Amino acid sequence: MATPVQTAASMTGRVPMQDREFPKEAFDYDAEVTKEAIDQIKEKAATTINSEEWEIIDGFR
Amino acid sequence: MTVPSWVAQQPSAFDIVACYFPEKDVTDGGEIFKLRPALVLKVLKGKNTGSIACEVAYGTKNLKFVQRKNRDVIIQNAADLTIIGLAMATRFDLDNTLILPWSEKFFGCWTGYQHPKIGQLTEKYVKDYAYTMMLRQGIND
Repeated sequence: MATPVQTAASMTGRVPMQDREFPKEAFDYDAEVTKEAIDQIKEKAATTINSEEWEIIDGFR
Repeated sequence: MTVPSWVAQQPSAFDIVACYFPEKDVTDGGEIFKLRPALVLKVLKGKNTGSIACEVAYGTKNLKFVQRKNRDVIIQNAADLTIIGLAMATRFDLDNTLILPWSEKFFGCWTGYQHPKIGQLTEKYVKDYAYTMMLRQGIND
């Protein structure tokens, strides 16, 4: 029976970050989160959000 | 346009998801929407249609640790980043949260992913978030 290969992950119980592959999108954003940008997205979402009454089904109230 | 199958799988509170956010296009100076991590704070259901929406806090690479350590959720420990599923140290800005419909217009999948969910906040950070909100409540009262 083959001996299991001891990797850093199996020895430490976690996978080192450099071993994990992330897609380009994981790094490719830079803009600051500003009130102006948030307002722009809010405006896009307004039609849907304002046309409903919402209840919280998950998360802190 | 076909609705992606992930729309039927709603997120949970404290999931990290990929959300569209406006960025300056370096090629022509215009504006494009790019995916970035966002923290789901609440999941909401429409009382009439049953549709799903989420309150999210967008992530930024600009940590501003000293100024924002008790105001935002900041994840910078390498082991925590790996567990949570983030590629880089990230601060989730709790000053600028908003409610978004759970749809392909506002959420998207990273290349190779089948769902906008990137990962999930660990219990430690959920507690940190609760503590931060308590501090914020105290400051705002």
